Amino acid sequence: MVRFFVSRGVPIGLAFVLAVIVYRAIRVGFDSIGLPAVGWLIVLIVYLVGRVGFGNFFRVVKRAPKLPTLIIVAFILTAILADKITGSPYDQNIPNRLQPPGLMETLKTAVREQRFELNENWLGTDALGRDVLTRLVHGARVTLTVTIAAIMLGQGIGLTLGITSGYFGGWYDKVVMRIVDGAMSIPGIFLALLLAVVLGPSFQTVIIAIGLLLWSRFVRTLRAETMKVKEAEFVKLARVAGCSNWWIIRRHIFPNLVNLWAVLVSLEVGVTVIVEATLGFLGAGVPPPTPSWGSLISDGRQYVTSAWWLSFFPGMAILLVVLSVNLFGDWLRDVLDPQMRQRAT
Amino acid sequence: MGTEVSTAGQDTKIGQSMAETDAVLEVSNLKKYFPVTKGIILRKTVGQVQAVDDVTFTVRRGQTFALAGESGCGKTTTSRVLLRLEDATAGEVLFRGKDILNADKDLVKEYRRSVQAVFQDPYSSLEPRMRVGSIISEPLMATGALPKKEIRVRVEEVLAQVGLSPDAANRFPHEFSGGQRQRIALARSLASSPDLILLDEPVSALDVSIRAQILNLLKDLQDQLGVAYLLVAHDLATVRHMCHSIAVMYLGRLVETGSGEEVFGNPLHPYTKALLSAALPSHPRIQRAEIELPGEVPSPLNPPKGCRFHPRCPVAVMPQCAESLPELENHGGSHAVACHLARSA
Repeated sequence: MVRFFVSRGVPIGLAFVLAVIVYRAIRVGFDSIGLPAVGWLIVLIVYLVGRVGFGNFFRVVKRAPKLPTLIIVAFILTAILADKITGSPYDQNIPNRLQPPGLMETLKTAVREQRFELNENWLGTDALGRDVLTRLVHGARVTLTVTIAAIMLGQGIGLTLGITSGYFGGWYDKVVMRIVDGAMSIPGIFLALLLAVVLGPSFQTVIIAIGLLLWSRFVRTLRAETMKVKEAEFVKLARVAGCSNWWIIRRHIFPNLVNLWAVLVSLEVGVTVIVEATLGFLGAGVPPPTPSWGSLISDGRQYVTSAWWLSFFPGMAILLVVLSVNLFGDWLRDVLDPQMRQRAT
Repeated sequence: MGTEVSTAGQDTKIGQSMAETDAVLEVSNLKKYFPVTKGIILRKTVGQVQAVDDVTFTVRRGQTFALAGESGCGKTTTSRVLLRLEDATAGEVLFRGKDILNADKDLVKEYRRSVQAVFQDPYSSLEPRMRVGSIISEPLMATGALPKKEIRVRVEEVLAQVGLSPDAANRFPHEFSGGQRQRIALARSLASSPDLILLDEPVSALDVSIRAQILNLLKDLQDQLGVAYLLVAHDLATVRHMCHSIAVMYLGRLVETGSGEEVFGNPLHPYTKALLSAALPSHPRIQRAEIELPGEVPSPLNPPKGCRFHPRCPVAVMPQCAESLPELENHGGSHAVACHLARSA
């Protein structure tokens, strides 16, 4: 009973609580997720340490790419604790509008006038005098929530359909693949704009739009890999040993897909962040005044020649996060493969 | 039920009179045809590959039955059908007197527990993501053959039987050599104490230096445990070393069956003679006349009329060779040959 709880209960529980947190973030608002989300992260880490063993865990984690991991952790913590570390992203101060980044101004006065004067707006202010850094920090929330929710949606559908259609084949596979063909022939941005028109631009619309954009890619790739793994001798032997289909999928197919899946997820994180930014840029994203990284870039567009910092910093944030997630995904793929893991450690 | 078994036994043309031990597996008139289809949308069957045609044999308790023939002769397809990995086109397979081709769920479960397999490639037949202990215990877990507490003990027991140390259970397959991997595969097949193990080319992927070890191990295990083997092999040296009785296959049909001594000592079918003469002698100085067969194996899609072997047969002189298909006929003891010439001789 205890064993069952540890081996099955905790992951299922963690997935369930994550779903609840994301749901609350979407429906109720981000301010309500701070503490539960931090708690969830701690439980996740404790569980992973317990599962892998203290020594093993640190031996593996020690090999993680340092800078990307740091950036991802900082990104997640920033998103969760946004309202604790900065003020409101909606506070306007019109007289103080379009101020250049304060850090640079501080540096300039220090060099030119030998006078140290700390400027409050580190990354400058926008056309309404709102602090860019505050909006960037709160934008991380939107980006993180959209990313997690959209990927959960997209990979959930994609993994289920991909494995089942690859494994069972037949007419079911044919039907699924034709639907996928159809879904892939619709341009993602067009679909998102259409949804934004039909459902009205909102947080949920963005998530659904990105989720619907992602699932078909997961199906295609995971189906192909499933078909490959299914033909392996060890799957045939598992059937000879009397394993059920569900057992084979769980114990043989999925474990052999997991590193491909991890790479796909990490690649799609990048895609999600960029699509979310694109939607924000086109005005079909999360509606203003809620800051998202895409809409921040979009808002700064008309001032690009005079106030470069409005678009530059959100752009850099997207670049860093997407790059870090991709590098982290590569490492994850190696760690999930026992052969590669032992070679690496 | 008992009478049914005995009549089924008399139908088989392999000398039932010799039966001192009872049959584990009785295969009668087994056929496996693969349809060849054309067209993408409107599929129509344009022909059939007669991979296995009218195969009949019996595997006895505690004995080794060998199915020999060159590649493409249908021996592996036969084994796949017997493992229920493929559906048979026609025929009957009795396992301990019960029909397993149309078996209900309980019987399939029992069959899965009692029949295991070892495949040719020790690299792809072990799940790379499972530890050896889990690989070996999978047949036990899947069929619930043993309570969980006893599984660990059983794993160590079979590891010892195949000559591996108990701590191998905690390692991954990629840490072992080919020969060791084949021992692991064998340990797995032994775990559920089966009555019959199907060995599909168990040593042909191994180094010559290891082959004898594995073959001797197989023989020892048979002596200890009384398990029956169905050995599928193209290598006659392997077969000769192992088998009690043998069936030689050519193009989906049995051409000669009998006990090991009968077939190896007095081969009657020209194909068997050619195969035996092609096997390397035990000493390089031994001079022998090699029978060379002209041409290639014909396509099973369009097998030659009459005796399937007649286009390549060095002695096919009789007119009926090209006209009628010879049936297996008894030539004393358990020795049966499908050849018009053998009858007239």
